[in-house]
This record gives sequence, C-alpha cells and structure tokens, in this order.
Amino acid sequence: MSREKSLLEQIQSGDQRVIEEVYILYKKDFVAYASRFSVNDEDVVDIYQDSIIVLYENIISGKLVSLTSSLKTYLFAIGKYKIYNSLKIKATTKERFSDYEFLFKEDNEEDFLLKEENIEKVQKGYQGLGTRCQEVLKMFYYENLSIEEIKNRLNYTSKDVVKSQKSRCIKQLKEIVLKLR
Amino acid sequence: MNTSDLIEKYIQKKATAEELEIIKQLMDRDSEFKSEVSFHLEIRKAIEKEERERLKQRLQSLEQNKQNKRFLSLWWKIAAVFVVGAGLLWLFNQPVNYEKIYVENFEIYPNIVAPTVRDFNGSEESIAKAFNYYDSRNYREAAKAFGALQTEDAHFYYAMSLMGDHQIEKAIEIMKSFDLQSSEKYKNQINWYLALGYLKIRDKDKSIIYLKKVIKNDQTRASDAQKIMLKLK
Repeated sequence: MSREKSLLEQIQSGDQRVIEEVYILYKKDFVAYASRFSVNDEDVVDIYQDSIIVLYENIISGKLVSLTSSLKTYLFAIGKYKIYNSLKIKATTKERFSDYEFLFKEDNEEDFLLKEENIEKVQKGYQGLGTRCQEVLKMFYYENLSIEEIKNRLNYTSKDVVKSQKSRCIKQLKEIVLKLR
Repeated sequence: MNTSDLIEKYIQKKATAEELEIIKQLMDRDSEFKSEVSFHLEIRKAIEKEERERLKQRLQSLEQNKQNKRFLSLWWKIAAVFVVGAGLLWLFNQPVNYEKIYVENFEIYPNIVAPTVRDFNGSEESIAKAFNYYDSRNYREAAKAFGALQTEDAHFYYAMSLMGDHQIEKAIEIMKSFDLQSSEKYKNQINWYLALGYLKIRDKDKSIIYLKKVIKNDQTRASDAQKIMLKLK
C-alpha cells in the first residue's frame, strides 16, 4: 500500500514515467483478469492502455486524491467498465460503476456543440506550439492545475508571470488556428 | 472579477454557483463571450485529445518494446536450442572411434605362467623360449613359438601374441577354437579380448555380444566394458 501511495504521489507531481511503471506492474494480472470475459487479446491490451490513461487522468486532475481501495482495484474497476462497454453489456445495478464513470462526459460542455473539426484544428495548433507553451497549457487545461501550482511546478517568480505566459500562448494558438480556418 | 478570470474558473470547473449564474447570463447576452468560452473548451478538448494520444502512443511503444524483447529472447532461446541440438547431433553422429577405444583398453595379458611352468614332455625349453619372446614383446616370434605348442596356456598366449602382433582376425579365430572356449581358467580373459578384437576390426555387434558377457561374468572388467558399450551405442 505504501508503494502504491508513493506511485500515486509521483504521478500527481507530474512524473509520466511512473505511469509506465504502473502499466508494467499490473499488465499480466489484468490480462489474466480480462480472460474471464470473452474479449480477444488485442482488445484486452487496447482496453488496458485506455484504462491506464483514465487512471492517469484521474490522478493528475485530482479526481483520485487518496486511495480507498488499492490502486490495482481501482485500475481494474476502470478496466472492467471498459470491457463491459466494449462488449455492450449493461453493468448490473449492483455494480457500483458510478464511482468510475468519469471523463467520458464533461458536465460543462452540455450547452456547447463543439465541432470535431474545430477541435482538430486547435489540436494541430497545439502541436505547432513550442514546448514551453505546450507545458503551460497542458498544466492548465489537461492537468487542471491552478496558476499557483503551475508557478511552483515551473519555478516562475510570480503568478503574474504564469498568467501572462499563458495568455501569450493562447494568443499564439488562436493565430495558428485562425490561419487554419 | 473580469471575464477572463470567470472563463478560467469555468474551464477548470472551479466556479461557484453564483459565478456560474453570471456566466450563464453573460453567455445569453454576449455572443462574443460565448464564443470565447467555446474556444477555451475547444482548447481543453484538443489538448486532452493530444495528450491522450501521446500517452497511448507511449504505452503502445512500451508494449512493442516488451514484445520485441520477448521476441528477441525467444529467438535467442530457439537459437540456443538449435546450437545445443546441433552440437549433440554432431556428438552422437561422430563415427565411433574404434581404434581409440581399442588402444585405451587393450593391454596385453601378463605372463603369469612361465615362472611356474614345468613341461615334462621335453618341451620346457620351447615354452620358456616362447615366454621369453612374449616378455620381451617380440610377439611375432612368441606367436610362432606358442603356435607350435598344444597346451591350454600355449593356446591362450598364442592368441595374445597374435593380438600383440596385430593379427587380430587370426587371434579371434584361435580364441574361438574349441579348447579355449571351454576353458574355465581363461573364460573371462577370452570374452574380454574377443570383445576388444571385434572392436579393433570394427565389428560392433559381435563386440557388444562379448562385452555383455564381460559385464555379466567379469566383475573386474564390468565397468570398463560398460563404458565401451556406451561409446558404441
């Protein structure tokens, strides 16, 4: 449990290599676990990778702050949900999937009909940004870090520096996207 | 609070109920504000997509590396098995080196007769002479001398002399003669030297027949015979 706690903390601090460690750690057990369901091997690996991504996102976004169960149990619950999804089996109501139904739907997007092609253009724009900009925007939009946290993570002198850096990057991104539109 | 702060809070889902109400009103009234919010949501969605794809790629290449390693190690294992197998095959298919086994095992039977031999038929001189040749390793002369005599001892040492003189076929012929075959005294020696004789002339099957007799009857040579058997098979 203490090892899992340290893994969790390392991922929270933005260390992506640790998620690879977690990936290797539970891969074998997950494949064995998934063999109870009639999923083919290729899909199992795919599902496992997606489950790891969900786990990662929940950790960095702060949805998973502390573990009530083990990291493995949590990961396998995500995996099970995804297996059921892929098999189009409705989970029985007894199964408490509500704990893990995250990220598949964003609650504040409901009022907006985001166009897939616009998102793709922004994605291309993001790819075209320098690493410093990508880093700041990733921390803000993906990892959901506060300006204060970004300041600490990147060793900036003040929150204002972070803010101006961020708005410069967004401006740059906007310009690239406008050219694409 | 300015509008960009509001948008920030909204994007990070950190807005309070009050702030959410303000945002909702602003969006209803101000289409520019609404498209600004929309743009930030697009950024979030786009970065999320990009980062997921990057992580996915990372995991896929991790998986690929693992498989490559496994594949590589599998190939090493196959190669190792092949090499060892080929080695063993080579070892087992090595022609039996009869000459080598013969040389390693053949030792001429010592003269245990002459010091006590007393031939009262006047042939004492000739058997003493024969053993004299035998002891001085002049096996050709010894063979001639022993061949002229008719005792059991003389017959046995005649065969030994022939072997010492590399006349193996003839030695075998003598050893298989009636009186040596029925000899209680030389039975074990005969089996052993016949086995070696057949070995020398590369008659594996016959050699094995006598080796089996040695293993069965001759305690002192059983383990040597066993070793030769293993090499022959």
